[in-house]
Amino acid sequence: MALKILILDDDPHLGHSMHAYFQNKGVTCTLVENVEQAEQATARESFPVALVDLVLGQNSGFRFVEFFKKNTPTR
Amino acid sequence: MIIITGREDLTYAQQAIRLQVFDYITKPFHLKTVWQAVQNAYKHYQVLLEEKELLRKKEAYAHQLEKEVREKTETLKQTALFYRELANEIPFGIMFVAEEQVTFINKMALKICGQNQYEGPVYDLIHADKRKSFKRILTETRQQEQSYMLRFRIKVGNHTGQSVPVRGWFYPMRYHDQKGVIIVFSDQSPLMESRHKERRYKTEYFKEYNLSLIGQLASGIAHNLNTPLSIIQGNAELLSLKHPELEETRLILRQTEHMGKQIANLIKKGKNELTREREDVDLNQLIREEIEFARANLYFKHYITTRLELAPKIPLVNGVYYDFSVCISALIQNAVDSMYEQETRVLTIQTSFDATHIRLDIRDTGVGIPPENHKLIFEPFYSTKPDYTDKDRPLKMPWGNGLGLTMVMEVVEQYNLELTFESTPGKGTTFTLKFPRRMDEH
Repeated sequence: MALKILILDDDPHLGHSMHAYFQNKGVTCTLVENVEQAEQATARESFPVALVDLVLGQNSGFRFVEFFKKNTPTR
Repeated sequence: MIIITGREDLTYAQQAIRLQVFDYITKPFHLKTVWQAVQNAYKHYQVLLEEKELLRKKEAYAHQLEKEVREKTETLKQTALFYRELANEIPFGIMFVAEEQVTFINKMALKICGQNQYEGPVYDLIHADKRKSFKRILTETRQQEQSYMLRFRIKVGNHTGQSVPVRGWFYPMRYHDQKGVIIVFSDQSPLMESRHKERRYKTEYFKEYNLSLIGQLASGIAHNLNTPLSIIQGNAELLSLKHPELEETRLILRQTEHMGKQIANLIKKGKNELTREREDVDLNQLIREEIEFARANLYFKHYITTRLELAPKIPLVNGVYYDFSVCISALIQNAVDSMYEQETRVLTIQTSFDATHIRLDIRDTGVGIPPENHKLIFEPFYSTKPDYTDKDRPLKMPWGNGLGLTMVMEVVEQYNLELTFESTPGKGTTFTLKFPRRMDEH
């Protein structure tokens, strides 16, 4: 599967700069701001790599780490 | 594959590692660093995917292999069953002998042995008389790796004392790295029985044929002779009472008595020929009786000079009287017939014996047998004489059906005799019959 990156970060600056940087490298990116969005995106399509900020507003990034690991094809 | 971006906090880091994330990056960071981490994570992801795929393939392959093995095993099992069934049901006895043990025996073999099952030493199945030769052939088959044939006897049951004659073929075979022998055998008793029957029917046929001739002659002669003979004898007795001094009457009486004996002899011969039991036979006596019988034929009596050179105290031969009688009378008949157109007609019958054999020579001064006919004379229905039904045959010319020497050969083979002949065309022929001193029927 070609490289696709899911970026979960509630800091829009950091998220966007990473998004732009990876797009520039020719990689498809999906940027989400919270765990719910991230879970929905993961359910829709699978991402070989996810960049997760552990410290998010009200939710911990760990919840998504568990979810992501469960839904990845390398399991 | 996850890369965590977070604060510089050791507990987070520990937790992330426990969750087996791929990498851990702390803020602040360079995008280049993140990019490097992403690339590494992606590579790792691909490796994992590949690994997973390989594992799947491996499992699928193992599964497939297992399935194939199962199928092959089943096929093999079926094949083995088929061959076992085939070996079991085939109407021949089959045994597999490893070392000296029977490890497989089929239905027919068990039937011949009269057992329900058998596993054990093969020699216990073989009749004691044949065990030695059986052992020899078994060893030869194994050592020479060649096939052999042997006639032997298989014991029926364990204690019946009965046995069945069989004909067996021995084939070398390896099984589980062990040198073994397959023995295939068939019950020969039906064949031997039918051969025996055939032989009996043949002799019956010849017996019937001969008896009808003899019977006709004998009853005719008895009828013709007994009545006048008793009249002559009665009157001679009366005469000797009236004139006891007359020497001539005594002569007449002696001759009638002699004649009576001859008739009795004829009757006795007829009786002997009816018995099929073996007895000790005096060949000299048999020859005298045959000649006596032949003299009933006027041609023989008046035109053939008979010389008997019989060895005194000749050992007896054991057999069926009729068999030897048929044999010798056929040879005498041939000798007489061969002299039909000869000037000198001398029949010489000679007996002699040594330590191993009793010898009988029947010599004639007949036309002889040309060399080209030597091979043909024992063929059934081969004859140089015209057939009885041949209308162009001069009335007194000897006739034949071509079965005389065939009958002789039957007897020769049955008693293991030796029959040879020497012949000079135009001068005569000598047939020699040699009897072993210890006679066994074969």
